[in-house]
Amino acid sequence: MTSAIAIFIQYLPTLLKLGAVVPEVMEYLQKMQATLSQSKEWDQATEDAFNKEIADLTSNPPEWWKPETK
Amino acid sequence: MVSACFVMGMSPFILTVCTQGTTSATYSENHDPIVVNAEKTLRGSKDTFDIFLRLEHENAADAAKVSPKIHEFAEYLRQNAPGWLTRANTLKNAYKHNRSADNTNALSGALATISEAADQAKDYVNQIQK
Repeated sequence: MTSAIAIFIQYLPTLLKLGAVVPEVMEYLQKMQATLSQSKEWDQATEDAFNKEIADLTSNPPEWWKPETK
Repeated sequence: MVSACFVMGMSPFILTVCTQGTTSATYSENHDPIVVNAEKTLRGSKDTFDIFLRLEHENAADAAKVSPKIHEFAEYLRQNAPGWLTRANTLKNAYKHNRSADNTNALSGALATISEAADQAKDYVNQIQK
């Protein structure tokens, strides 16, 4: 885990400097940074939000999550 | 250019989960490393699926030129990943209520499935971006 964080920290400034990160990937990296730094279990609000997020993938998915056929 | 963004994998998460075994009474109430790492794997994998599917959707023509397997895998994820994530999170909560060896193993298996898929998704993102 520590090495993964180190790699992340190592690459992020370079990518930012180069302007090489598309917005979607930048958002992804920020989420991963938060994920990697998690040190305790989710509270109930986080658990509920994740459950809703997953349920929405089926009931109300964004375009890129919709299968071609069902 | 995106390749360097994906050098970190979910594998350390699942590895930690697998090596934690059935430890008991050594964690505080909300700091069980098996639960924390399960949640990291769930969160990280869902976000990885999301970025892969979005890039594949927005760059379908380029992805098809690289390999038709990329779209096949994207469709496979679209149809299965919500179920995998739901199942893994349900098993995580079952483990929280009963930290038995069976529940630990079931959780590890579910996390291995989504972690492997997340690694494949990251590999395909790299291929799309080349």
